[in-house]
Amino acid sequence: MDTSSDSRPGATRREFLGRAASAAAAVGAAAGATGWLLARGGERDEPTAPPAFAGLRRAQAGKIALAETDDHAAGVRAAVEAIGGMGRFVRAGDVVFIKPNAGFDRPPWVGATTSPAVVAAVVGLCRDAGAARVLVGDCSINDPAGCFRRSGIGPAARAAGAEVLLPRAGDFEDVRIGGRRLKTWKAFHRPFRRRGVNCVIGVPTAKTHARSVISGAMKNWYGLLGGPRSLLHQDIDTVLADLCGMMPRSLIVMDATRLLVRNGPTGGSRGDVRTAHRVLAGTDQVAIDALTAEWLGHDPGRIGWLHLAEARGLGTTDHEARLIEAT
Amino acid sequence: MIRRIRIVWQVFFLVLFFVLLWRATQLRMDAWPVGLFAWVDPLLGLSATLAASRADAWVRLLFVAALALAAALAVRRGPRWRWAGAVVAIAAGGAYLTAADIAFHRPLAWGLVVVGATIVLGRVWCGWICPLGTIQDAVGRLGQRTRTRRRRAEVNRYRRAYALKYYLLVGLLVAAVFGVQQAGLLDPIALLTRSSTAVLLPADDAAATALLGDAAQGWTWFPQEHLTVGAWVIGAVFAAVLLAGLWVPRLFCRAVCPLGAMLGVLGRYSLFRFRRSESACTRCRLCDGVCPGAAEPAGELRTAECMACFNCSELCPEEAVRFGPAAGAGAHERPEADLSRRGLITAALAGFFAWPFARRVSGARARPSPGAVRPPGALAEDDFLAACVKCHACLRACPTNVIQPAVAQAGWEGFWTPVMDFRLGYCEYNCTACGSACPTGAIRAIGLDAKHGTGDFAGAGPVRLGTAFVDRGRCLPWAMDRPCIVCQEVCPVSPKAIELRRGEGNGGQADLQRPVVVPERCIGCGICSHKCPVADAPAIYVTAIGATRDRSHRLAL
Repeated sequence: MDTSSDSRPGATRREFLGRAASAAAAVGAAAGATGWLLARGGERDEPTAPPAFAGLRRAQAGKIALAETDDHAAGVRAAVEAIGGMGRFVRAGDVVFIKPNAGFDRPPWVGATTSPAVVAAVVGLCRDAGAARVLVGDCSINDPAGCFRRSGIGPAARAAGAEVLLPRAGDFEDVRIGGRRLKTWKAFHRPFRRRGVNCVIGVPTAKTHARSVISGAMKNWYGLLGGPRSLLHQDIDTVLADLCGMMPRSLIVMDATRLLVRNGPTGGSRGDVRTAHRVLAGTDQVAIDALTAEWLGHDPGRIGWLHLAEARGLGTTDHEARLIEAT
Repeated sequence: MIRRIRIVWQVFFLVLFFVLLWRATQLRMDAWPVGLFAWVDPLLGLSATLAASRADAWVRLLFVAALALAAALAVRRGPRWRWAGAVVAIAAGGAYLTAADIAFHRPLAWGLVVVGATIVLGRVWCGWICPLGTIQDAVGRLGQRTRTRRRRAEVNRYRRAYALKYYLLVGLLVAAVFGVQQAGLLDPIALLTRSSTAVLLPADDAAATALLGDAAQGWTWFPQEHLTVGAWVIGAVFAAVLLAGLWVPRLFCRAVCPLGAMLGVLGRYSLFRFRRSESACTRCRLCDGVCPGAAEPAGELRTAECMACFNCSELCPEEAVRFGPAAGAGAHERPEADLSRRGLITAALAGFFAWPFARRVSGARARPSPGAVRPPGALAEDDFLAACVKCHACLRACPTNVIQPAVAQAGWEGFWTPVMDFRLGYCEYNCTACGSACPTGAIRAIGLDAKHGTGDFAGAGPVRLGTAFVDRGRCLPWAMDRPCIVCQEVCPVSPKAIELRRGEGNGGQADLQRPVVVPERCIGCGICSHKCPVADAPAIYVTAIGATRDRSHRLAL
């Protein structure tokens, strides 16, 4: 080796082969990395977004049931039982996603978020109906971890046997909603696909809202959207009807145990909240929101999105025809 | 053996540093002492206390002059001069304590523990505790690995440039006496906390999320993707510290660290120290090659530079270097720091001139700056600038990412102090994490009642960070006749600080609701601005006017 390196300036055969091999490896690695990046890049701008929340079990109940009791868990059970029981909506082995309103980092007494007792009762009913997994999630307006903790929903849902999903950037993907305004939009959708969610239950709470008059069952689906959703207020009537169309015939358990009658949807003082001890269950979001609006002191006849949803055949504002009392 | 024990302690403190950092967030903090490392850091304690204290200009001048005299005495050789210097310094300190109105943030008293340990054992903080020192030790070992023994000793030779840290210390402390707080820029704990928040922790979160996916949930440092504006500068400084340490072990500690300098000044008085026995030594210079402080144990051992790491005593085959009582310290020792009178005077003057420069030239305090919206509980601007050491513990703790390092919003003095950037976040109504995380009390640890002005604080009213203003030229309902009201929806106070005016515009829209801010109710949390759909330059924005922390920010009558 000494003589070769001293006398001949060129490389030995072995050195040459070694260098050639490492050069080939480097080129190959670079090409591989480029190909991987290109493949990833291709994945990112998918030409066709998947349809929004497809493959969910839909079940319709003819009635909406009202339970009035200060035992809110019993109220939930009674109301759901009155429209056919949880077994009608959840089958054994289902993966259920429960959507409470956990939009704000506020304690339960403020009334800005769904009561933890109501969420826990719904989780319990799902488990009793044989659900394999119960997921609870919301894309909150405040920091989600703080919202789920301070609202009490996180601890209560976990104690009742559910898993809490806090949204992360990677959870959002473009979905085809196919509404008039909401055509393709970013939604909290990837966990639905990954976890194989096949059943959704909305658990909103009753609140006033300066733009949409009230925030109830339909407005609650807002929390599944990502992207620049604050733009949607510019045509909130159409958007709320679109959201109802995105999640038709889903079980709704309306938490009206207390009503946020003023300063919604955030509340903030005890004077904004009125105790009502009511729970509504049903699948007609139009009827549920119409009745909730009356409780909150607003005339459903003057709420544009209720009419739009009704005109699309998504429900009826004539809640009296649907209402039954649960005991 | 003792070297192994030291390494175990170093790893323990490094892990503890990051455990506390893990806990230093709104939902994990509970009662954890998340500010511990900053509390025991005597440089931060002294600098924050000096800067936040109030005294007449001539009292401050006299104090600095007395300290200069003490330094001039101590710089001379010989124990008598040294003690004379110490006595003058202590007397000056005592006189200043009585003459000035001292603002002392209690937890900073923990710094005395490190001061005490240093007086007994030397710079054990540097060698055994400091997490930035430990990181540099690891890097330095990597750099030294491929070098020959002779080369290692050469790299570890003491250089005159290493005296720089003492001049930096003098400059920073003199500036602090005059109320200008910049120690945190170079302090190792502030530097590491800042670098972690800006670069290390977000990078770890990104890696964990990419590799683990859903499994990473609940195991990330930040609740959401965290962004520090200008993180690359903070990261570049940190990278420079590491690279320098790769080149020369602990170069940052040797040449720059003002905390190391402060402990070096104390360390020269230490009761126990290393000594080399001239008769046993074979001049192999093995010890020089492993000395992190460039204290040259094989030469005239520089006690001020010694970090008490025990590398030299452990590795000496002749057991010529030993740790023991200082009494009868040998001739082969240079306990005092290597300082020139001229250098000291220059440093002190530089520190002194920071004062008029900060006040008069930059003009930061001449009038309220609109961008200097500070976290809830922040002191009045003067006191805040004096107490904030720019460690970014508040940025770390904030759940919404709204707290960002200032660049020019608060004058040059306020560079890297926390301000609110409402494009990135907003102040969470039910959160006071930043104040609980602040180690120096620049942001007071307030509870929710104090923040909201409820309960015991009903008389004082809520903490207001500033006031929101609607830009009617950009607001959708005002400028374009389009309905919106997102700002009103998210406003957290009750009754809401944004009222809606019914209006009819060109299109004759029946239910146009136009937002108007009610200044008496607005707390300046900025969620309106953060959620405004006119996202690039929000149509509602918050400026510092109306902030309750500072009288000069008063707006409403």
